[in-house]
Amino acid sequence: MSKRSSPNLITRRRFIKIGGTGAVAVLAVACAPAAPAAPTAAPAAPKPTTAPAASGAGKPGGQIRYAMNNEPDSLDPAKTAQASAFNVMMNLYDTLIWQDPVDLKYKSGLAESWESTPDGLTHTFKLRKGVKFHDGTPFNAEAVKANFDRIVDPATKSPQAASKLAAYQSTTVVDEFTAKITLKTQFAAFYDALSQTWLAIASPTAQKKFGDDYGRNPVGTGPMMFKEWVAKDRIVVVKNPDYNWGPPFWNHTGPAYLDQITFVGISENGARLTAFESGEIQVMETVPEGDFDRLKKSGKYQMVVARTPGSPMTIFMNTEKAPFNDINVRKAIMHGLNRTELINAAFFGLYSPADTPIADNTLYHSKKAVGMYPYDMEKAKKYLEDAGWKPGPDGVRVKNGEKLVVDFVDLTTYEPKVVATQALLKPLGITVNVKALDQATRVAMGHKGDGHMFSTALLDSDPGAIQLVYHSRNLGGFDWSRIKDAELDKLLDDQAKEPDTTKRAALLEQAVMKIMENAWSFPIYNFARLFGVSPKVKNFRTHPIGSYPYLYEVSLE
Amino acid sequence: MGTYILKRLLAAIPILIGISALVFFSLKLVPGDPLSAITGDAVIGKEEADRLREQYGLNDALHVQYLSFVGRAIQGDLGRSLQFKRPVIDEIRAQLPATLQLTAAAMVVALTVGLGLGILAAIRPHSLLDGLTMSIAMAGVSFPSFWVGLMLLLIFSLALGWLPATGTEGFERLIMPAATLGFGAAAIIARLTRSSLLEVLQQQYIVTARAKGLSFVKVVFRHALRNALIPVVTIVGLQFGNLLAGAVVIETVFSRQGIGRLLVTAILGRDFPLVQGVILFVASVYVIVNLLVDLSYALIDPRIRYA
Amino acid sequence: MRERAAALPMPRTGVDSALAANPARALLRRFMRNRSAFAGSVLFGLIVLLALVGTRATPYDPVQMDIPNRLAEPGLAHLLGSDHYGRDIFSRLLAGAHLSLLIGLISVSLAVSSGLLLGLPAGYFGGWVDMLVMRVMDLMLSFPSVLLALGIVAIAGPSLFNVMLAVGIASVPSYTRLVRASVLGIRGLPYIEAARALGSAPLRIITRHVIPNILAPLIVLATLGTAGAILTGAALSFLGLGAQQPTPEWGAMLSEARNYMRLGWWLTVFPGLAIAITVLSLNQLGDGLRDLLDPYMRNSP
Repeated sequence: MSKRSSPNLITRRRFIKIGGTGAVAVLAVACAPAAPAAPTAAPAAPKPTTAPAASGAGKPGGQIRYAMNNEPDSLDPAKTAQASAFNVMMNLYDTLIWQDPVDLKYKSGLAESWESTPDGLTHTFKLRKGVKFHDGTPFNAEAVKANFDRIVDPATKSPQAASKLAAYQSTTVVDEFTAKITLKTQFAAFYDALSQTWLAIASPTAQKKFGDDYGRNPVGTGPMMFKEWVAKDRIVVVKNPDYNWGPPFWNHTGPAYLDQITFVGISENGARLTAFESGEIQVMETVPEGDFDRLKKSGKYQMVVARTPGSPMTIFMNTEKAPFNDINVRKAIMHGLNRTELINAAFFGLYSPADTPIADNTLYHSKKAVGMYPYDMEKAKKYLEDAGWKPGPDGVRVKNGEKLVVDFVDLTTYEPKVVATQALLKPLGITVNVKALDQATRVAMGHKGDGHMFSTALLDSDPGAIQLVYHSRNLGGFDWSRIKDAELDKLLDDQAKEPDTTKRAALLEQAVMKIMENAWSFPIYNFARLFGVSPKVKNFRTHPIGSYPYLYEVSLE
Repeated sequence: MGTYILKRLLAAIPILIGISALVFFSLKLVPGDPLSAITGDAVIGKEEADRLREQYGLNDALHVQYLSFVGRAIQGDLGRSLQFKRPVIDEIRAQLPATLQLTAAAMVVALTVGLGLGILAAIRPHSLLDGLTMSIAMAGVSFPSFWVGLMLLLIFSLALGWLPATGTEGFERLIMPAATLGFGAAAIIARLTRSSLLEVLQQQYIVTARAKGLSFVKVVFRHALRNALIPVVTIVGLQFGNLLAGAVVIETVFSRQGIGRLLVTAILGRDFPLVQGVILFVASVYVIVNLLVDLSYALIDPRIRYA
Repeated sequence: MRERAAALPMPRTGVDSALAANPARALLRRFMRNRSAFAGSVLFGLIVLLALVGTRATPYDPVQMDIPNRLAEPGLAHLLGSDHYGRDIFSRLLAGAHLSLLIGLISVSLAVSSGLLLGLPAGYFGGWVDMLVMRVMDLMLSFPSVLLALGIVAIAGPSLFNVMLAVGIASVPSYTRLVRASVLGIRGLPYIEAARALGSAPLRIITRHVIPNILAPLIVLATLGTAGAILTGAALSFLGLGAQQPTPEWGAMLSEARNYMRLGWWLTVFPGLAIAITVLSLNQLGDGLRDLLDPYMRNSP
C-alpha cells in the first residue's frame, strides 16, 4: 500500500486497485447526513444503481462457489485493505449502520438509533440487544469500544480502517448497550465510514484469543460464520442459524438462505472463465470484457455490470517530467485521445465514458466541467505545434532533437488500455511505450514517477477521496500526476471538514474545475465491476458502492 | 570405478563455483543502486539505507561479498524475494514439487514415446512407418512447445471440454503439460534412438545372432538395444535440463505452479534476489543431475570407467 | 577448388573422377536429389522472400486498429482473420516475419563469429589458451541454454535486441566446441605440419587451410542453430521478454492470443504455424546439408 500520509483530520479514501491485490473498498456514500442536527440542504442525489430488493421469497439451502481474482490477505477488518477481503467480510461481520442501496440513507444495523451533538463531535449510538458473536459472546458497547480503540492503536498498523477513523478520539461505554463516540474534529463522512465493513464489529474475545492469527480465524456477528481457510485454495463460510439482525432493506429476515459459500481466488482470467463456464463456480468476479460480451450473447448466464461511484478510471500525466510538464502537451492529450474509441478498443464498449474526476453517479458530481475538452484532433495538433513539437520524418513529433516518446505504465490486466492508447495517439505523432507490469512494480513506479503516464480508478462513495490522487501530501504516494498545488490542497482539505452539503459541493466543484483547467489528468471511463452469475443464482444484487453482492439475499433455484 | 566417481565429483566443484560466481557477478552488472536490488522500491531514509548497506555487506570488497554470498547460499539462505516478502528458498521450496512432478511426467512421456518411435523406425528403415515416425519427430523438434500447448488447450479444453485448462492439482491437469513438454524431448530421443539402433543393427555380432536363428524381436531387445541406448542415456541428462527450461514456458501456458513460472514472475517483476536464487538453484540441480547421469553412464558402459 | 578437393580425405562412398573434377556441380546435384533438403530450402527461400515483402508492403497496416472488424474470422476480408483490435493477422505475420529471421540470423552470426574467435586459437594453439576457453565454455554449458538466455535478458531488460544478444551468447559454447574439435582434427594432418614447418604464419595457415575444412560442420550447425535460435527467441518473446507492443513479432502475437482463445482460434493457430513452418524448413535444410556434407565432416566429432 502507499505510504501513509501525515496524521490528519481529514478522511482518507483509498482505491480499489483494480484486478490486483491491496485494494481499498469503497465506502458507503453519505447522501444526507444521518445526524438530525446537521443542516440538510442536500444537493441532488445521484441516481442509485441498485434496484430495490425483490420481495422476500427464496428457498433456503444450497451452497455456491464464488471466484474472486485474488485471495484476501486477512479477514481482520482492522488489518486489511483488500477488496477481496471486504467482499468476504461483508458476510462475516455487521456494521453499526448500513447504507440503503436504493435511497442511499443510513439504516440500522448493530445500532438501532443514533444522535449527535450540533458541533458534530459527539455521537451516541443505542445498540441492538440480543446480538451474539459467532463464538457465543455477547455484542455490546464494550465490544464497540474494543474494536475502535484497537483500530486506531498504532500497534495494529491498520492500513485502511484507521484512516476511516482518523478523526476518532474515544468511545465511552455509557451503559451496556449505549456507546458514545467522541471525535477530534468534524468529520463530514463519519456515518459513511461507519457503514463500511472496515469498521465492522469483531469479537474482542476472539481477537484476544487468536492475537496475530485473528485474521485467519475471523469471528463476527454476520449472517455467515467462518468455517475454514485453506491457504491459496479456498475460504469456506457457513450459515449462522441465529442471525436475525440485518438491515431493514434486505429481502428477508432471519438467517441467510445459503447454507455455505466457498470463496476461491483464481487470478488467471482464463482459469476463472473455464471454472465458471463449466459450472464449477456459480459467481465469477471480474469477467474480461471480450468474454463478457460473448457470455452475454450466449444467453446462458446472468451478466451483471455493477457501476461503482468514485473517480473514473483515469490516466495521470507526470507533470514533473517532460513532455507533460508543459500544459500544452497535456491539453493536446485531453483533446486528442478519443475516449469512446479507447473504450471500444480496449473494453469492447462496456463502460460509459467519463470526463471529470468525480463520476456522474457520485455525490457532488458537477456538470460544470463536463465537455470541457471535446475530442478534436486538429486542436490537439495545434497545441503540440504551439508547444514546439513538430512532426518528424517518421511521423513522430520532435522538439530540439528529442522525440515525443512517453512510457505508459499500467497493470498487466490493463494492457489493452495501454495498447489502445498507443494506437490512438500515434496519429498525433506521439509514441507511447507499453509497460504492462505486475501490481507491486507498477504501483511503485507510479509512486516514484518512473514513467510518464499511469492509470487507476478510485472506488469510493465519498468524492473527497480524490484527495488521494490530487493532494500534494500524497506526492510519493498515489499523487501520480505529481501535483503540488497549494490552492487545490486547501480546497480538498476544506471540503473534508465541511458539514454543509451545499458548501461542500461548491468546494468540490472548484477543485474539479481546477484539476480540469490544468489538464492534470485524463478521465476515461466509469468503472464498473463485471460479474458472471449462474442462472441458478437468484436475487443477486450489489452494494451500491463497492459493487459487492449481498450474498445474504441470494438463494438457489 | 571409485577413482572415476571421485574424479567426476571433483570436476563438478569448480563448475558449481563458476556458476555461483557467474550468477553473483552478473547481478552486479544490473544498473542502479545495488541496494535497490535488495530492497526494491521501498522508500527508505538515508540512515536506514546506510544501515542496510552495512548489514548486507555492500560496502565490502567484491570478493568478500562473493564469499559471504556463497557461504549463505550453501546454508540455504538465498535472500528475500522483493515481491513476495519471503525468503527465496521458501518460494522455491513451495514451487518445486509441481515442477518436479511435471518434469518427471514429461520424462516418462519422452522416454516411452521417444524410444517407442525410434525403435519402430529403426526396425523397418525407409518404410512408411519410418517416414511417419520420423515426421512426427521432425515436428517435435520444429514446433514451438508453447504453441503445441496452446493448441492442445484449444482442442481438448476449450473445444471438447475434456480436460481442465489451468491449475496444478491432479492427474487431469498434468496430462497436457506433460505431453507438451515431453513431446519435444521425445522427438530428439526418437531420432537418436533410430540412428543409434540402425548403426548397432548393422554390427557383426547382430548379424551373427540373426544368422544363428534368434528371433528378430529377441535380438533387438536382448542385444541391440542395450548398446544402442548408450548414446541415448548420455542425452537424457541434457534433456533434463531442457525439460527444466521448457517448464518455464509450459507452466506459463497452463498456469501451473512451478519454478519456471516463478522465474518468469521474478524477471518481469524485477525481483533480483528471486531471479538470482532460482537460477543458482536450477543450475546447481542441473550440474548434479548431469553428474549422476555421467556416473550411471559409467555403470552401463564399462568402457568409460577406464577411459 | 581443385586444391580443396585434393586436400580433402576421400569420401566413404568412393569417388569417380568426374566428381573430383567438378565437386561443386556434384554437390548441387546430390543436394537436389535429397528431397527433404531441397524442399526445406525452397520453403525457407519462400519465407525469406515473404519476409522481405513484409517489410515493404502488406495488405493492411499491421498496427492500425479497426474495432468494428475486430475478431473477424478468416475469410475474404481478412485472409487469416483479425485480432482483438481489428488488426489483420496475415499482414502482421508478414510484417513480423523478418523479425524472427533476424533473431535467427543475428544470434547465430554472433555465435559463429565468437565460436571462430574462441575456438580457432583454442584448437590451433592449445596450451593455456585452450584450457581457459574450454573451462569457460564448460561453465556456460552447465546452464541449460534457455536459462542462460533468460538470465541475460533479466539483467539487460526486455527488448528484441536483448533477446538476440542473449540467444547468441547462449549458443556460443556449442560453436566454440565444434570449431575447436574440427581444428584439432585437422591440425595433425601432414600438410598442415608441413606448412608450419615451412614457417608459414599461423594466421595464413588458419585462413587458407583450416577454415575451409571446418566450414562443412559449421554450416550444418549454423543452419540447425538458426532454427533453434528462432524457437528460443519466440519463446522469450512469448514470455514478454522480447519484442514490445505493438511490434508484430510472432512469439509476442501468441502471447496476446492467450487472452482471446475463446474468441478466436485463428489468433493462436496462425502465428504458431508460421514459426513452426519456418523452423521446420530450416531443420529440413540442416538435415539435408548434414547428409550432403557428411563425407566432408570426417574431422568433426
